[in-house]
Amino acid sequence: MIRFAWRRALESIPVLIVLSFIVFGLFKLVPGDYLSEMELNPTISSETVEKLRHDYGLDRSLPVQYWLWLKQIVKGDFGYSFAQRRPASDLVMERVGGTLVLTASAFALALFLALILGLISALNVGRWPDGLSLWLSLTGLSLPTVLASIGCLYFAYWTGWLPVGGADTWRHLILPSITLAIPSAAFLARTLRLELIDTLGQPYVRAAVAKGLPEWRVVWHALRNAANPVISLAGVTLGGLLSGAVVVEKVFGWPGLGSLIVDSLLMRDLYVALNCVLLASFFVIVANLFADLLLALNDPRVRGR
Amino acid sequence: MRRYLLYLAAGILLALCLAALVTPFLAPYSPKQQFREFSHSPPTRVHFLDPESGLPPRPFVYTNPEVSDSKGSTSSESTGDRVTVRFFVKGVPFRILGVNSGTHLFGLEDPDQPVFLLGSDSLGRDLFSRILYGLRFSLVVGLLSIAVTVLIGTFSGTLAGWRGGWADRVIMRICDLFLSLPGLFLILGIRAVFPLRMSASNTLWMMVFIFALFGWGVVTRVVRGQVLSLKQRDYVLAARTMGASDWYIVIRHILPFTSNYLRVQCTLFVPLFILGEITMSFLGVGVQEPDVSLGNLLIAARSISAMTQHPWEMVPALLVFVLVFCFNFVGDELKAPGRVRPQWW
Repeated sequence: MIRFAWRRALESIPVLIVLSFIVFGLFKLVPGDYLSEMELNPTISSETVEKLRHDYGLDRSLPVQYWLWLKQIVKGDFGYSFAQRRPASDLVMERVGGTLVLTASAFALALFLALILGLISALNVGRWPDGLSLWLSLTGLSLPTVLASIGCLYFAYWTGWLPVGGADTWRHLILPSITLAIPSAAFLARTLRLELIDTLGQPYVRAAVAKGLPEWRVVWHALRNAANPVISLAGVTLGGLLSGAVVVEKVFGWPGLGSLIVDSLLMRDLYVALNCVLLASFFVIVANLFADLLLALNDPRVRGR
Repeated sequence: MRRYLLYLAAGILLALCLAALVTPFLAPYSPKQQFREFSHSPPTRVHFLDPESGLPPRPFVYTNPEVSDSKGSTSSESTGDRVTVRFFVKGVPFRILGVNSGTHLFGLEDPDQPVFLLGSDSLGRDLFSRILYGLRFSLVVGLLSIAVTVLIGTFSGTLAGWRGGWADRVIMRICDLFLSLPGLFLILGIRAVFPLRMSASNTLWMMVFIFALFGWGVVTRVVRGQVLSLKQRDYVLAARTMGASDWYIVIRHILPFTSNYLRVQCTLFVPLFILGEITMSFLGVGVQEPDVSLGNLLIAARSISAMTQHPWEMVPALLVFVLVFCFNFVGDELKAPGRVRPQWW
């Protein structure tokens, strides 16, 4: 297992390298450079800018620039936000936690809901609970984060039970996590249902039923086998949750990395935005790695390969 | 039952596509035309019965549409002159499918008098027209993106599968790489390269570019797999011994067999692309005011005041839901027709 984990972790290194190439390429494609903003400032002389440019290595060759930039990022220095007049690292540090907490709670919620819906559905194929949960999940699937957030906002406003914006208490977390979890929960529930139905049709389940095993034990057997694709897909949705968090953070005013990226884009604070894109993408890749490890943990057959 | 629902969903999709095709004709106004004095005015009531005689005359509206008070409820009695709603009226000129015209399906005789079927927004623009134009933009983004994606994906997939060797290895490596990259964040990153404010058509092409960039890998991979298995069939060998060229075999004997998969992939991808457009515009980094798309329209639906005071601004959200729901439903049926339960369970 540990060997598998190592190998899998090593595999994601090329992806990370390419990712850094891409983001660096985007840096170079953006018109102007990191210090162009400063040149516009009349209180800063052009000599100062030139000196800074030299200090930052912006007059060096591309590979050197790339290397310097990468070293900076790894050290946790995300540059300076000209729009907010603060070091970007401070901004990022404030926000990263928010995104991770939101994503984690949404993930847990999605898994929980999917398990319940999928089980109810698969154990009652063709009867009304199955139909109901199918319709529910189809509805949930058609509620992309944008719509779900509007719906939840409306719900919160209408009932007045939950706060709609901000991030002060745990109550502020409820609505954004539900919003974020809805599409993933629906998706996972459907997958689990299909897998469970297939698994319940397997001969070994038939044998277990014939042996007179209690129903819950049979279901448990089947569930462990059916869980495989669901778990690997859950890992994929973890990446999707991180992305979906962008919208949710924006709508509910939850301070996170996603809203920082979008705000930076809108304020043309492009260097901060791109650095954050790199960081967020890094999280997604780590999430995918995590998903594969989960899968290997659940299914010994994966490890063997 | 399920089959009829499928027909219903497909019918709705078809109708929406048709509506997008002839939008300028269906929409009474241009999406940018403002009636400043009618800000946030509720849907205009179209009267079909004459209040005096009780007979159905031609449908009409009152020129002084009920003024919405702060609560958004409309006074029941309207005043002002009656204006007949006319069909096939002359209005803002437009051009569809190469035909110049100025005829709109319906409208008032006086083009300065508004008829708001779904109310108006804060600038007094007709929401009905804006929704139609927004739908048009979003659908065009979705369909163009899928066209480009499928084109590139089929080409590279066929190349990889048919040629094999180094072409296969190179293409599949690039493909794997793109599949392992996080979509939305890179989309936002790529977005940074383009200027913030762009014309609608530039936004359109930017989105098509971005979506195709992230979609082609999936198509390539599956098409390659299919080509690999198809090219070993006996009839391909037969065609080859009869002297058919590579091009001929690929186009006549290989590609037609991938169409089934491509059809399913399209119904899965189109809503994704449309949602991508909606998400980007909703976040403010896509289509910009005064241009209109479904995502753009949802920005207004997000505010509390829209929910409480002018609920008609929520209609775009409903439309997006219906659109995505229908796509999912149809795609689902194409992908996996209903399962049967095992008999012993």
